[in-house]
Amino acid sequence: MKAERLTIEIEIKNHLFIPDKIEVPADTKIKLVIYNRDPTSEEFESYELNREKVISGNRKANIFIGPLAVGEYPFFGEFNQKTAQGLIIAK
Amino acid sequence: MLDAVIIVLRETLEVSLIVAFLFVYSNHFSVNKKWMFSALSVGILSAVIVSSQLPDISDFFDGRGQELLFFGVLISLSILIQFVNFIILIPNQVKSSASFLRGLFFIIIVLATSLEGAEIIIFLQSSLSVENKFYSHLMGSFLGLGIGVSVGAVAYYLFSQIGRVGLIVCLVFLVMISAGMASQAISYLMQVDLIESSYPVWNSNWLVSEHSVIGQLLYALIGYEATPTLVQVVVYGGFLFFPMMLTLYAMKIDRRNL
Repeated sequence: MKAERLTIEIEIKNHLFIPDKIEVPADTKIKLVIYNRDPTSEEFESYELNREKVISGNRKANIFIGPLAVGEYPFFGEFNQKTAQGLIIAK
Repeated sequence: MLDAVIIVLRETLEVSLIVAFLFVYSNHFSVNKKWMFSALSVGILSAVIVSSQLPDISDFFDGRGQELLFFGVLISLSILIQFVNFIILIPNQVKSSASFLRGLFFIIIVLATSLEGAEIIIFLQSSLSVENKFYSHLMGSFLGLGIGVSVGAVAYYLFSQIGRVGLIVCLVFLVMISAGMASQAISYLMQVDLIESSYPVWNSNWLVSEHSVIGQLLYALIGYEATPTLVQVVVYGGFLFFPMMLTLYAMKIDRRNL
């Protein structure tokens, strides 16, 4: 059986990630729960985390990340890159 | 508008190159090319269905539906592409298998178009509700589509003009595209915790950043990943190793037949 993952919740609202900076412990597996509060779809994407997922309007999505080495991992909303930007900081 | 160009170009480039390479194969092995238009039409129709159903599909299997769908399509594509190469590499197989090859080409184009097309449609739908954004995104999308199709057309004309060398180049690219798809398919399973994720084996972002145009191009061409995990590297390597062994085997048979 898999160990419980540290869960972090993020919202997408008005094409912004809330919060847009998230500190997480390094070397830990994490479950991101992303709620898209906008009526339109967004694609969560991060090259550094090797993750991409379409999150439909008013739906939620789970994305597992980590373990992460100490460092910064940017992510963005591909459909609204000018505003939807975020950063995961592994400490 | 530039965002739209890049998004659509990224989605289009891989399909466009796959179509171009399969066209080159069709020329060499006298496979009727009319299948292409029906395959593209079925693929676009399928993309419309996938994009409209994706919200519900995503909720299946405890929220893992989208990843499982993408995994299934990508792994099927990589195996089918390998299978096409297998048929082409074994001498005397192609002539008797022309209609079978056509069927395989058809399925490959439908699957590739469905997946990439669905993402373009979802992107355009999401632009619809934002004022003034739709038309610039639509223009950008047409531009991205145009560039993607043009790259495929240039690749086709280039590789179909240089005989056997062109055929080998197409084969090598298709092998790498299929290895990249398999590696990407695995990352979808990691995304939903069905395969244990791990630290990247290396980080080549200092050399070619995945954010850069070259990085994006290499992603479409050879499945470039700057920070792959061990499982991805093993899968990628396996999908390269298998056709290499097959080529050596085919060359051995070729020599025996001489």
